[in-house]
Amino acid sequence: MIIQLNGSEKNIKNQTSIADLLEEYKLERATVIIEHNKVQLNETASLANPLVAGDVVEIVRFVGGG
Amino acid sequence: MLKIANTKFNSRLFIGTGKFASPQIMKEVLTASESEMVTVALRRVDLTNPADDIMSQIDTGNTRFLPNTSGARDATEAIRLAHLARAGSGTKWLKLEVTPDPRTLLPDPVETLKATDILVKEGFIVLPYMNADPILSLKLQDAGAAAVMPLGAPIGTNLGITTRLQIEIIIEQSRVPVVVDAGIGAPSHAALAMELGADAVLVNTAIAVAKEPVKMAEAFCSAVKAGRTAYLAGLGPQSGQASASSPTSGNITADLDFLD
Repeated sequence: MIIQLNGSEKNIKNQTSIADLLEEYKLERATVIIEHNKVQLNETASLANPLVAGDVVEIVRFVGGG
Repeated sequence: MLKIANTKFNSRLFIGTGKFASPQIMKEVLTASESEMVTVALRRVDLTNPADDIMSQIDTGNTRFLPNTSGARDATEAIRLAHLARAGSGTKWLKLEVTPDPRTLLPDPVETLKATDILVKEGFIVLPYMNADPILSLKLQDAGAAAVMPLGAPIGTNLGITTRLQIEIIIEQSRVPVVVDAGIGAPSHAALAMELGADAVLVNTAIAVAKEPVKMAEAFCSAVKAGRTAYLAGLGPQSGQASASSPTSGNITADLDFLD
């Protein structure tokens, strides 16, 4: 099924969760900020729920900037 | 000592962390600059190159993070970024930046004021990046801005304090600290801003693109201190009329004239 991840379409297997995506990209939870369908997930939010087709996931983090 | 929203700062030099050739150089620059406030931006993780984390390079011991909302084109986008920044950094401090035009990167005054109003009510400590507009500065303060950040010149131009007159008025009228941001391209520009009475300056490009950024950070550190000390010492008045700095009485030439 297709989701939107950081502005691009991504084909994922059924039952894939946000935790799975972090593992796929080797991203540590503490270093990123996550939005799921425009709702920000706080640090204690569960990431294990399976995504559904059409979900929009944004994974952002701090970079150098002025 | 500089105080913003009841937080004290020994250093009046804020550093932007963009455009550095490597995280290591940035880290050395932060040490050399003695800065206690550094700005960072939020971006999507580049999923083709996810191994890159700037936060681990910044010593959080005596350095405060000031996340910015760069990239936001209106108040709604800035507020969304502010929420993400707060979640990611745990800080309520925010450099509010709303720049709809990618060519000039000039801040949108209407959207900036709107976002300041909303974010202050949400409990953010808002430092808005603004054009050097004295009226806007007062309105942002009325809305609860913890400091104002007028530009010296557009971002990344290194042109210096091209808005001098307006900056002087902003400083004269301000009830909150004035941090001159953007356009500062040389230590002399930073010193000038401080001599005019600015409370702090924010520098990024001038240091990041220098041949030797660490050395340039040292130069800015000295310049900011010198400018501040000069401001406290009180500059003499300017005049179009020459005024001798050596005594005009007891003139030796006059004595010799008498001998003729």
